[in-house]
Amino acid sequence: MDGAGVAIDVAHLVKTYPGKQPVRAVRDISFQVERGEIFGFLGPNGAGKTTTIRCLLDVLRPTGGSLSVFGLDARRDALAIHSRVGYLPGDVRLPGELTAKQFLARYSRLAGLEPVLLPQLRERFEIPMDRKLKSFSKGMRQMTLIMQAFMCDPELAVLDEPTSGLDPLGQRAFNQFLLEQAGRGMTVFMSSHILSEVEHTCHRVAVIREGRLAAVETIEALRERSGQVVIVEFEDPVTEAELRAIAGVQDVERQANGSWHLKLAGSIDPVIKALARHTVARLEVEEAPLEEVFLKFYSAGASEPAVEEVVPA
Amino acid sequence: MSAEAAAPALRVARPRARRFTVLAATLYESRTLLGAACGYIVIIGLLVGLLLPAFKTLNLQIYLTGTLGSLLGGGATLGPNTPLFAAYLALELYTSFFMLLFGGVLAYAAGASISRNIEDGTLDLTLARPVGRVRLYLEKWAAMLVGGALILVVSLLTAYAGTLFFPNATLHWTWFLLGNLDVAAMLFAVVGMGMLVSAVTSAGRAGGGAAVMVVVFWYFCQTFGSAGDRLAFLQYLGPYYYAPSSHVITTEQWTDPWKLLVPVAAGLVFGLAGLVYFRRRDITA
Repeated sequence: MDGAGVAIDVAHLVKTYPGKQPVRAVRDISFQVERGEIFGFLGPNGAGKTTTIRCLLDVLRPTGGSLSVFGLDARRDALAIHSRVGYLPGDVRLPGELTAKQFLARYSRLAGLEPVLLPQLRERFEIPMDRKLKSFSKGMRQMTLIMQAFMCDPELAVLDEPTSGLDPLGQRAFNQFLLEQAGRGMTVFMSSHILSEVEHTCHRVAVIREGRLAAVETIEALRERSGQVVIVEFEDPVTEAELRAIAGVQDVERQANGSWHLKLAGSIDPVIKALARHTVARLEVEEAPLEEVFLKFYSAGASEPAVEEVVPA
Repeated sequence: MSAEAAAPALRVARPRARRFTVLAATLYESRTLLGAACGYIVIIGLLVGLLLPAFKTLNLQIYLTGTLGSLLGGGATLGPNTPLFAAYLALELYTSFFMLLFGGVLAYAAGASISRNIEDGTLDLTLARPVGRVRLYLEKWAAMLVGGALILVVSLLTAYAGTLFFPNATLHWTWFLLGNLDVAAMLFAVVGMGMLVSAVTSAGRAGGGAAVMVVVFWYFCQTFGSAGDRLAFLQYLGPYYYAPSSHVITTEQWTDPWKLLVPVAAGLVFGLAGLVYFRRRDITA
C-alpha cells in the first residue's frame, strides 16, 4: 500500500488504564485504514473499540505504540488532524437546553468551518431544528450527532456505533449517505454491532477481542471464510457418515423435513460430484451468514490465534 | 478502492470564525448559578438601603466587634467618617460570608466547568474539533473569571443604585472600590482553585461539590481563626485574611496592600496546576 494512501496508521497500540488493578484495554494492535475506504471496527462489548477510537482522537493517551492520521502524529499534530476529522462519539448526553440548530452551530464554530453539508444532511435526516434537544427521542438525538459529525465535510469520519438507536429507515438513510460520501473520497472508520450494516457498507473490517486484533479482512474474504450451505433432498437413502466424508464438508445436519444441510468450506465441485451419485430431489446453495464468522471471532473460545494486520495487496 | 479516490480537493468546507465558543458555552452552562448569585446580591444590597433608617437606631460598633461580626470577618473598628450605608453593606455583603456564598457559587461553577463536560461526553466532541486542551482550559478559566466579574459588577451597580434610590445612602467610593478589589482577588483565588478541582475530577457534581467544600473549609478557617489567638493561624489558610474587603470599607484603611498578591498568586498557581494536569490526563468519565 502506498503511504500516501493511508488515512489511519495504528502501530502497536497499547492502552492500559492505571489503577490498583490496571486494565489492559488494548494490547498491541496494528492496522491501517486506506483513504477513501469504509473500515469497520468490530468486537464485543469491552473489546477495546472505543478506547482505540479515543486514542486516535487524542482524548486518551496511549500507553505504547503510535497512531497517525494522514501521516500526522495523532498527539503532536492533533489540531491539524482534528480540522479534517468528523467524530461521532458512542456515549454522549446532548445539552438539552439547546435547540438542534444552536447545537450544530456551536460545533461548526468549534470546527472553524461552515456546515456545508448540512442542507444535504437535513434532507436525509429530518429533525426539528428549532426544538430543544431535551425533547428529542433517542433516534433524533443520534441523527443530530450524525449531522454534527458530517456537516463540515470532513476528510475522515470516525464513528462510534453510528446507527445506535436509529430505526430501519434511519439506518438505511445513513448507510446510503455513507456510501455516497465514500464515493466522494471520504474515509470512514466506524465501530458497529450491526453486522448487516457492516456487511453492506464496509470495504474492510477489523475484529478486536479482549484488546487484541483477531482479524483484519475484506468483506469478500470474510464471505469466503463463511463458506456456503448446501440444502439437499435425496430420493434414495443416504447416511450422514457418507455426507461427512465428502471433501470440504464441515458440518452436516438432518432437518425435520428430511432434507440435509451441508456446511461447506472451499470449492463446491467435489460436493456436487459426490451428490450426483444419488438421486437428488432438491438442491439449493446459499451463502452462509456472515454473522457466524463474526460470532466466531467474538467468542472467547475461538480457535484462531490473534493476528496482526493483514492488508491485501 | 484506491488512494486516488480520496482527493482532498473534493472537500468543500469553508472556514468560519471560531470566536470564544467554549467561553460562551461555559457561561451559558453556569447561567442559573450566576443568575441566582447576582439576584441575591441585588436583594441584599437593596434591603440594606431600604432598612437604613431602622439601622440608624442600632449600635453598629457593637455589632461589628461582637461575636457574630467577628465570625463573619467584619470585626473591625468603624472609621470616624464611614457612611452607615457603606458599613452595613460591608457587613452584610463583603465579609468572608461573601466568599462562602458567592465564592461558593463561583467555586461550584468552576469546579463543574470541565468535569461536567467529561461526564456528559461533550468534552470528547469539543476536543475532537481543532480546539486544543490549553485553549479549552483557558477559555473555561476566562469564563469563570467573567462570571466573577459579573458578580462584582452587579454588587457595584447595586450599591450605586442604593445611593441613588435611598435617602442618606452614601458611599466613599475610593474605599468601596478598594474593598471590591479585595473581593476580586478573593474570587480569583476561588476560581483558580475551582479550575484545579475541575481538571482532576470527571463528574460535574463531584467537581463542583469538592470545590465548594474547599471554600467552606476556607470559611471555617477564617471564622475559627478569628475566634481566638490560639487558632489565629487558621486564618492564614484562606484568602479572606489577605483580602479583608469588609475591613477596608468599614475602617477606611488599606493596610498591607501587598497581601492582595497572595490570593492572586494562589489563584494563578491553582489554575496553572489544573492546566498542567488537564493537558496530560486521559479524558475518562
